[in-house]
Amino acid sequence: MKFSYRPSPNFRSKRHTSRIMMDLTVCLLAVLLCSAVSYSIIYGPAIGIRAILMAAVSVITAEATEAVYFKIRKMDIKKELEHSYGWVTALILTLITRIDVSYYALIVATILCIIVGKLVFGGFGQNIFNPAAFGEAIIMNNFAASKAADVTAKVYDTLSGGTPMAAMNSYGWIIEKANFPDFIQQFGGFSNMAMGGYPSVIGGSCAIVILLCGAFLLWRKDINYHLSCTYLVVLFVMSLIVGLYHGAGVEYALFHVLGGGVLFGTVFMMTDPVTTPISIPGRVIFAVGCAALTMILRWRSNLPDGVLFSILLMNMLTPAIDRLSDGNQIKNRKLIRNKVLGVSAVIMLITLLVGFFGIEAKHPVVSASGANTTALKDEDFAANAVECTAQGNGVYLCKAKGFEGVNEATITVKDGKIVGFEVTAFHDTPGVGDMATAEAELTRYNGVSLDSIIDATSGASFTSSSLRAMAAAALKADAGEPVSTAPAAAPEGSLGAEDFSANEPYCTVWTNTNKPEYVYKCTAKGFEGVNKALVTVNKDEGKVIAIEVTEFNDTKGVGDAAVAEAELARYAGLTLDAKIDATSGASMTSASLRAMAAAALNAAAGN
Amino acid sequence: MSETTRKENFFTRLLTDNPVFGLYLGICSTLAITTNINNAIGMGVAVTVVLTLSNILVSAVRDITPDDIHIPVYIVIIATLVTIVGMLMQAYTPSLYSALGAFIDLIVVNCIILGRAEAFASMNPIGPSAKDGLLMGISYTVSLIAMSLVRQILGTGILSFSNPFTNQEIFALRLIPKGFEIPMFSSQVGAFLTFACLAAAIAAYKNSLAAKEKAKTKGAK
Amino acid sequence: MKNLNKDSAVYKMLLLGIVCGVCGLLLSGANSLTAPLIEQNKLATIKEKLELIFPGGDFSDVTDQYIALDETGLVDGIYEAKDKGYIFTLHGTGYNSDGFTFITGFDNDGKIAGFKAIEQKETDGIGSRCFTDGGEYEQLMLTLTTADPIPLLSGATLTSTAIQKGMDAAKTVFGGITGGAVVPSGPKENTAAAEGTLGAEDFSANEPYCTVWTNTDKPEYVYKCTAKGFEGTNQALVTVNKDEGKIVAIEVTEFNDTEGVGDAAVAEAELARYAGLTLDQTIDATSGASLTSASLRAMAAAALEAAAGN
Repeated sequence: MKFSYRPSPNFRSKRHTSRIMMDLTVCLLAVLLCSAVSYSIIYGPAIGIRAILMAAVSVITAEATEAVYFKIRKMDIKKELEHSYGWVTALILTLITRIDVSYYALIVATILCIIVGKLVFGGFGQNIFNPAAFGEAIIMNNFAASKAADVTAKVYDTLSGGTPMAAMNSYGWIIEKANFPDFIQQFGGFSNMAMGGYPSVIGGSCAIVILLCGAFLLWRKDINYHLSCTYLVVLFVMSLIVGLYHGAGVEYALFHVLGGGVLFGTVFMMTDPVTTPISIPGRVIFAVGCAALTMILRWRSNLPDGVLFSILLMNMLTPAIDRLSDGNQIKNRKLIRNKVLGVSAVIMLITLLVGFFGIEAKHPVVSASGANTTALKDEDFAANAVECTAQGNGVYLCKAKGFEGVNEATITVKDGKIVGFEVTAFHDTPGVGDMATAEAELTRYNGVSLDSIIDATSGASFTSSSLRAMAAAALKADAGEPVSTAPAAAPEGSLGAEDFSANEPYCTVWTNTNKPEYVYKCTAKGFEGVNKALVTVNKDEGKVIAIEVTEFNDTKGVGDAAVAEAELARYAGLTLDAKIDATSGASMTSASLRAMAAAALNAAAGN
Repeated sequence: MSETTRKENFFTRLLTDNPVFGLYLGICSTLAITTNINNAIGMGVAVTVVLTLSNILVSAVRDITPDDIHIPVYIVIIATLVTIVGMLMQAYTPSLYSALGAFIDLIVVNCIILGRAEAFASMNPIGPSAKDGLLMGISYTVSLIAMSLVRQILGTGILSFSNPFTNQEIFALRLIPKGFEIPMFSSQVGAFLTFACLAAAIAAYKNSLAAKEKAKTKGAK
Repeated sequence: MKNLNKDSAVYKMLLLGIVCGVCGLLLSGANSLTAPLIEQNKLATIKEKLELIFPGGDFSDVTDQYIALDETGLVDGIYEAKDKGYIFTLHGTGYNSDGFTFITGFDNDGKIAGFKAIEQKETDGIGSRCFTDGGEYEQLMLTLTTADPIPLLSGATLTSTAIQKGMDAAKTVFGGITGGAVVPSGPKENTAAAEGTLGAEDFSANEPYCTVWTNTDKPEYVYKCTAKGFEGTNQALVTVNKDEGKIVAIEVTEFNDTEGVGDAAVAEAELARYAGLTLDQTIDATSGASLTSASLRAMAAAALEAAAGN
């Protein structure tokens, strides 16, 4: 007689199932409430209510979709709805999506994930993929652009560096131990992340509440600890090892566990008995695979967080895993255990290899537009050539260069903070730059001090920087600090101030092998032709070292007085602040030389 | 058979004997190019032309072709036709040609063409073969149009059609307001979803027809 | 034919031959009918895109002439707009693995004259921001020249990195056509010359320095070079074939080293050894005049490097 021990997948006790699902619902509602409250505290009640509204919309849509389906199939709607637990999918979907997703996106995603993710397979208990994960994948794929812009602006644009996962992504997924405290401080520290003080996805921020729910569900024996614990432990250990290899500390591993959808996924999504393997060895493999995929996707893919797709991919493999760990579990205990250990070891090894050799630390460059990380007092506004005149009583008339023109504003400062900002002259591109001068944008300057960080208005970064430059200058002037003048505002008569537009000077880097000396090949119009010269500049000191004329196309016998050895020697040591006289009798050619010298110096200064 | 019954039969058969949704042939091109109606009609016409002509030619040589070389002969014929059609498209409808891209050349391996050649044209005279090719091509085109209607409207929100020869837009209607379209339908994901739904709908229709037939014969007994 | 047995090999071969022959005839007929139309269409489609950069320009396709200058393979087409500048069609792969194609142009001053997408399917609202018609990124491009590194667009790093690579490739080709050096946006990948070759030698002590003297006889460029020798600075005119990266001739115009010692290196016979020299080859010093030799080699290397656009 052959004894066969297999956990019975066909045993379905509806009463038992309903208790599990009700517990799950209670927990999901708890997480939702925590998120709504924390969002309200930080961003105002409107945002908190939005979280609850989104959940409501999703639940109603899910139930409606299922009702329609059951009606078409001529089944008893009420009975089926009760046992289909569509609202659980809806709640989970809401909690793994961002708060700035539009309602339309949520509705479409809910409909599609209920129909294609669940009903088509035969309804509750028969689906292969986690329907909520599928729904979120739809949102990510299709509706990345369709967001509620005001919510995005309020919640996500005020973040410096984006969500924790996105920020870590831009650093190449590795941060040295020394730099970590600064990095994590962006998000208010681990405690803040755990308490829901930092927004990522709606359900992702309240780590403590999720863990409490997990404990509750374990106690009620609704979920099985094998999957969740294995996942968390393997994730933590692998990220710890990889982190240590790259010089990061324990905080790195902790970040991986606390950040993104790991905790939420562990408690609510990975524990879904329908889409995960039945046997315990199978669950271990599933957990190890999920951990591996989460890490690899985080490290190597474009997505900020790998939890979602790791779950979906492992769902795909569940039947295969079930087959692997199937069989006579008592008699073949050793065999199955070895299989599990073997597969797990291979998976973990691959992950570690990817982690060791596949990560490269990046240092994100300050970008053309978007969130700012520098305080106003530290920002470099040299290119804006800002000037402020005090009018008394804390009122300053300022001007600063924006994209192509000079913008002017009247700024009122009180007690080191801006209390009024009025743009009096706008000379940038209408329709583009004036996005930055809109009322809504200017109100952001209220209460701003030198320590504040103000973001550029995306799409109008040049005008934004001119506004910020003026704000900084006004604040500094009020504090009695000297307003730094830009090299472009050079003293009158100096080389930097001369207008060479008629000469159309143009320089390109010729060679820079002898740093800090850069040689620029320059051209500039002279009297009748275009002259060419090689200008050697000391980039660090901003001085001309030598000029060598390579092509002279002006009047011979007249202009060439300016290109004589002795005349060219006068350029040695020239800076943009210095004056240099024209060669008398050859003023046009001289102008072309001076134009080239100025252009080369400007290029070296990075203007 | 009366006129109305013939017409009914024609439309019914269009749905049930559809090469794409009924026989599940030629699915690759269906999934790949049906992102808008222009592509669908262009590809449908190309396949119809190739199918009809290849059926005629295959039927013409069916008696003189010995069995063991019939496949190379058919393929040469089909490939020539496809190449000629491709060249004509490249010359006269360049925008359509670049939109369809590699799939024009892939008509050669479209199961419908070789399938019908083997299953029908090689065993029947020219007249019926031509008719078969034409009808199969038309139902293929109709299925493509159905797919692309769904995908274009849901995926881009706009229903538009341009003259393939001059690239002039004939009409463009926005049926779904901007920002509310679901881009997924313009991609492969949507292609599979739409195909599945349409195939399911036609299968359901076929089943209901079969049930009706059964009821009829039972009743007649 | 009717007497031939259908199963015989001869019959089969004959049949296949006839079928192929007839099909071939039909194909060539169709080809001769359609080929001219296809050519016309190709030019028309390109012209539309070229007009985006230099409207009303007199265009000619110079891709075959200069495509060898592109080592990255990202440049698809090179077009000259007479007296205005050069246009490049490029491709890249950002987020969408299908990739994108775009067109850009540099005017004769090296300023970026245009930047437009030809075909792109980057993610709406993320990568596609780089290609918004008249958008911020395009406007930013138009303020830049070949001397400026191409910036990335935050939130669209993948797409803009691919654009950056394409633009750098275009700049390299442009630099190669016009003879100027260009600044790459990313870290420059220096193909290290093999050890012992001219390209690998360290001439920093000689401080070689070359400027373009004349390039009227393209592809021959003449560089006026100077380099320190034993005690003085020597000057020479180095003629380089830019396309082949070879030295055509060296002519010493000023010799400031020790008479009777260093001038062994500048004798006719010694200078003739430089003909055909490339950066991958080795050239021996003239024995007894090693420092002057070094200055000559330094000038040769510098001229070759300048010609290569380094």
